[in-house]
Amino acid sequence: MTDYWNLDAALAEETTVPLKFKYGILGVARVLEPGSTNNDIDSGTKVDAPLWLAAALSRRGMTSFGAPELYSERYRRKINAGAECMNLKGRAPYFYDVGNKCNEFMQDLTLSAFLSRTYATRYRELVSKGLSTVSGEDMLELQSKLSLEELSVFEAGRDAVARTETWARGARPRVLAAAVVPSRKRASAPDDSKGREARQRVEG
Amino acid sequence: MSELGRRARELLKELKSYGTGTLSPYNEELVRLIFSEIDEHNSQTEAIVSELRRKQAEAEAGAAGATPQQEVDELTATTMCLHYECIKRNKRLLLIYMNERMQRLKEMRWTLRALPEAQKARCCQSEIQFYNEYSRALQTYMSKSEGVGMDLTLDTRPPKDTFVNVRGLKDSGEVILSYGRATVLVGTTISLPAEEAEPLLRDGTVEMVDWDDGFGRNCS
Repeated sequence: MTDYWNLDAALAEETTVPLKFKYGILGVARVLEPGSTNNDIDSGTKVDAPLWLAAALSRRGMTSFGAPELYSERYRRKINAGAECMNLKGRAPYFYDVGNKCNEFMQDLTLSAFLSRTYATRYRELVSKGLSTVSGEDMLELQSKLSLEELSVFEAGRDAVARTETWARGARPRVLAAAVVPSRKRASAPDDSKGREARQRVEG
Repeated sequence: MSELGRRARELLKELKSYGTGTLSPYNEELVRLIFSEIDEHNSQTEAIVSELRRKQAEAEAGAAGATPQQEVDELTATTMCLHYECIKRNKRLLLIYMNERMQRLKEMRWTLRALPEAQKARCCQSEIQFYNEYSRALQTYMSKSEGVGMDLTLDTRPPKDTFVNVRGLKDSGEVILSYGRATVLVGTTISLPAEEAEPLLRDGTVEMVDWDDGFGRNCS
């Protein structure tokens, strides 16, 4: 189980996976399958269920589940052909979390190899290249492509680059203003507004 | 019948969409709906359990000599587990929601020193109470008489230098500093210890000047 208190971990577990019931279930068919006419689910039926439910029931040996379609052979070929072209944010914002979680149950070595290969390619092609591109349009396009895990790596990288540049110019970070202004504002504010920030802080 | 924690997911997504520095309006309606969803799961579980008890009692009454039936068939077990997991899931998501909001409130106390009105309007009653109590506890801890006697919110990360350069914004005459006197006039730049600059900065007498490393290269 990933961190209990983590918001992103909880949201990642909402991804639906194909779930197969070993014994069936009573009375909740309409919830699991909105189009169902029956109240019960027979044994051996496959439904789409969120990952947290699938994992919890499979741990007890009551169900079994497979990975979402994005990890299937067809998509793997597609992603292997050009991992950097895939828009993960739209399709699977928690691509790696969900993949790893599924793999806990599937123990599929090819899947882990596939995940790490995808990450390596995308890191090289998107994240590290993105750190040196400057055009705002490219940046937007890039950010709309990265999965949330990659995005946090990317943001951290950009912050580090900015700090290195400040250091290389021989300047030291501001003591008071930087410590008080929340990081979100600091990231978005252009450099020349630092004096104004300090004053805002004073008023606040 | 409920919907497998979909409401709780909406709740968290709403909070997430507001970013890390702000709070979403406390969604009392949704929280209440999630509670009723949990109740529903609970009553379903209880219904299954009482049904089992009834059957068991019947079997015992029918055949006193026979071994009492303890076995629960897999179908019922799966159903019960599903309800149980749904309750646990809803509980977890609600706790995350509360915890995340609490962390953000604490963060605001440390970085902004006060709860902005816009954020306060989005809190529920108990959150405001929490904030006030947290604020009071921190205040007591920082006070001279009962605590450490330092304003801990001043430097959330270690300062690089003990001295800062400030520029006067209004004529406020002479100020007495630990190492002597200085006259603050509009436009004069003086260098003074960071903790002494803080009150002057706060009441708007002076403003921060960019760092100068002595080679004429200012921090842009």
